[in-house]
Amino acid sequence: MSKLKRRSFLAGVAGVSAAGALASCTGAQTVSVNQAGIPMRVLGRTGEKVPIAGFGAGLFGRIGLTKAEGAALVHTAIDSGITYLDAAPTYPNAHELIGEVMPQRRDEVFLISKVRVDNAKEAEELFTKALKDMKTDHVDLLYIHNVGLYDINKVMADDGVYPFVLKMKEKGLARFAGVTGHLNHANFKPVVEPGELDVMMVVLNFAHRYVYRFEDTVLPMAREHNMGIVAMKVLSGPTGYSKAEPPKMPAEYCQDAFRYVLEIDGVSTAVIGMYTKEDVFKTAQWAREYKPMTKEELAALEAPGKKLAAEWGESFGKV
Amino acid sequence: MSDMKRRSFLTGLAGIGAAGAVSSCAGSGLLSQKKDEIPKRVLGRTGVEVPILAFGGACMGHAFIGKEKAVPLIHEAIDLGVTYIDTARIYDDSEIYLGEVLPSRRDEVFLIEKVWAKTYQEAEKSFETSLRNLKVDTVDLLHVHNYGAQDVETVMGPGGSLEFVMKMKEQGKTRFIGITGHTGVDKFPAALETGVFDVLMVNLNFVDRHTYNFQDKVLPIARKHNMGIVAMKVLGGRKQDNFQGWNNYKTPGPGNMPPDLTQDAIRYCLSLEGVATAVVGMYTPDDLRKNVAWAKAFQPLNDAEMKRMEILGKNMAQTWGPHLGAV
Repeated sequence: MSKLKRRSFLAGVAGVSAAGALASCTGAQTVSVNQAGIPMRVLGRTGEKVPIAGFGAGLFGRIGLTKAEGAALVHTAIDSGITYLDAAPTYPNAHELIGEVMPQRRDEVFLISKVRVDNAKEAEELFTKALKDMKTDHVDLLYIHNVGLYDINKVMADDGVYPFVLKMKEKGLARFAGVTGHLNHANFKPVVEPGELDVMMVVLNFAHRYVYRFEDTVLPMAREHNMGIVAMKVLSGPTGYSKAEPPKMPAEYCQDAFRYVLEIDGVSTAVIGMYTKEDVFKTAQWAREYKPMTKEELAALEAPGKKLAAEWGESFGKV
Repeated sequence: MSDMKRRSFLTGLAGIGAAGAVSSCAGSGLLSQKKDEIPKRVLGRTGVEVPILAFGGACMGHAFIGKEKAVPLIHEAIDLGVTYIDTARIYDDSEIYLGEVLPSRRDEVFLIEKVWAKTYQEAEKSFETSLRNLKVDTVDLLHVHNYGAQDVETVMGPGGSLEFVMKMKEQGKTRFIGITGHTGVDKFPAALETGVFDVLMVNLNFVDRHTYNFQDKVLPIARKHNMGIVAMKVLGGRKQDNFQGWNNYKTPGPGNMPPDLTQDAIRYCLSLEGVATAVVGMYTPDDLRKNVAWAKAFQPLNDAEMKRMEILGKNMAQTWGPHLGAV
């Protein structure tokens, strides 16, 4: 570790205010480190402490891992301090693989599922199955998944998915409720404005900032309601969604891509897709050695960000 | 101990002059490494060469892994050169498992036993049971166990357990005597200054250094007496009740070394001046083989790596706290 890095890392953990001065904007504050040495931040109004790196189960649930392989990886992630587990029914085997571990380790993790539908009836079916597959009686966070896909009037209707996630929270089946999105900013205002959702997860990386611009348009609303903010597609996701492959983000930018999202005002954790032990170890190391970016470092990401944005375009659908 | 073994042991003793020269600057200096073998070091004033990786019996014993798993594991450990075998009366079935192997392989190992007792009589009873379980007549090293948690006056006084341990050395029931500790760091300097102990075994990992700090408070005194120094709780010493693979994972909490840091944790304690061997608890053949591969590839931490562990340890210690008991 260079001298500069060492200094900043210490500042990042011990003296958050000093670290904040380094960057033009800052993520949520680092409040502690967990037992594996990973910095923890408060997830907005939930008040929960979460590690700055989360386990993204998107590809993990799609590449045909056996139950034993999946369970081993989840154990490895938890042991490595990556205790934030982000899953969804659309990641076909993710819930079942995570379910291999939950009976023993449920109280060590912050567990997430999602419902990617617009109506309560289908949402209920998905969520009931999710709990069963994950072998747990509740999740910590239940998201309306990719809200931009739907007719917002259906989402908000009495039998829509919006009241459904709040009802699950009321019933204690989900401790918190949130919304995720890849596109269509217009759909965020109606779900955020009532001030009832706790967490937002959106596409955030230093290239797609020039395409989707969640930083400018949607995050201010989230901050206004003190929602927890979570970054996804930090490494821009895989090229496809069926086989084991590296993320689209060129390897030389990956660690800075992780650091970039943690600079964004209000961001608590960066969800990184993982399906090998090496992925877990690499991410754990980034997280332990995380230091805020300097203005110069942030500026240095602008040119490659714009270049990648031009290449990738609207990867997740029309803005 | 067989004639052949004794001869090589004598060779080891004869070489102490040279080895002593190494150990005066760093008892941790590697003494010898044959190709594809676990490196060895001299265990301080005992003069005995021990592998830098030692077999910790507590885990398998507390986990009740069963003879059918334990016996092949112990055999394989010895086959691979992990011949420093650490056990104790209070490690549940550990002695029972070792007793299945030791009668046929006693001369291949350096065998450790411990007494966690106040009085001479209690210590005597404990050690008799241990020898019976282990199915051996003697051990190589007998420790006063967890001295930091003991009533010092009783243990060290007339009729105390130390008297028994010293008697066993006199009678040849143990070749050497030692002292171990997890906590009560401040009790150790006086005990070590008596000069009676040949070996010190304490928790040495890069996290607990910032809580217990045997490293700075006690190791210098051990080095002064040229004691053998053994590292334990190398991977944190998280207690795993009835650990049987991943299926019985009951006690989340501090003391759990992240898996990507375990190799560096082992390297850390072996990079401390005077440390001869690292006792690592092993449950499975996979653990054993992985640790053996790391031991064979061992390189001390360089300055930058040491600095990294320092920062990381300080951070993690905030969460771990005094997880082994009051400092």
